[in-house]
Amino acid sequence: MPTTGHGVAYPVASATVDPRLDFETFATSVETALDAYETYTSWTPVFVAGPTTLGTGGVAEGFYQQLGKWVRAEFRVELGTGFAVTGTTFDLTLPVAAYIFGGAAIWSTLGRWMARDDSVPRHYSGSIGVSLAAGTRCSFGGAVSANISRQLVSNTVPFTLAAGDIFSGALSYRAA
Amino acid sequence: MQNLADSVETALDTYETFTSWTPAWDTSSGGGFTSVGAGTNEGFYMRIGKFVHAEFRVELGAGFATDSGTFILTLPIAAYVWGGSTIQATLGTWTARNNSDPFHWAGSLGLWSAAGVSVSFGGSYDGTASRSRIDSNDPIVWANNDVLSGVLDYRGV
Repeated sequence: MPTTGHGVAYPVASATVDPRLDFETFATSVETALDAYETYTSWTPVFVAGPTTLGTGGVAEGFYQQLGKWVRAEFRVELGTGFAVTGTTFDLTLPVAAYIFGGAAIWSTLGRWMARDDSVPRHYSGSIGVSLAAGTRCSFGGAVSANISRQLVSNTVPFTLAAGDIFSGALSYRAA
Repeated sequence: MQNLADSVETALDTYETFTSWTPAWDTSSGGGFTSVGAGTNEGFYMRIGKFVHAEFRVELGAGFATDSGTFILTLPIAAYVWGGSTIQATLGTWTARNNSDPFHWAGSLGLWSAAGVSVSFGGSYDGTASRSRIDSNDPIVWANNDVLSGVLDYRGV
């Protein structure tokens, strides 16, 4: 049975007519297309630079959904005992490459982040932007240092990470 | 039956369509970039029923010009009008990149117009705290290659 671009099935004109079966096949294919819109795909946040080792009791979790070219993603990292940070400025690989704007392309805004300093606790926040012209990675702006919110999140900004701290984000963007 | 399938296909395509949107600034009631010079000025949005997702990115080039005053960006689709004074319903997030340092400032996009047609940029650093709105001098004095971008997810009118 032929289908449309989204997989919606319909009988060919020359086929034997079976209204019950044809409508059932059609309805099922529409349901499948709508289910695809509502499906979350697991995504383990992988930092090129940042918390690359979670330590004991740490968690790194994420997921995304894609509706055509529109991507919605969320992630949350909670550090455990013995965690380790690679590099300085945090750099995260996106689950799906982002649309590439003109010009230098970098720093189109994709979403927002939050960092919880668990020991106080304090809650910092800022924006997430494309860090690589290829649209495949992001970094985290607006982090406070010396009372001014303009730095990129790093191993020491907005605070030096410790076990129990949380780093999370939500992204909403057009895919490449 | 094929017509029915095609109509469903068309409806789904509509959900996935991005429409080009050139960011425009309401300099009659505020400020903004009156010219990006040799830079870029790009945006787009999609709509699923009343839900609107929009993104924009402005990169300034040689010869750019600003209009002083609070930056006011006209929305691609008017936003839901809240009760009370309506203004400063949060619609999204912005980032300003001062390319020379580089520094990356961030804040929130909130309704400026009670009619729901434009936003301003809250959380801009004014020399003391991140509490002002973006203008020609805050959080940075704009220069070539600086970038202002944002993403919005909101209910349309």
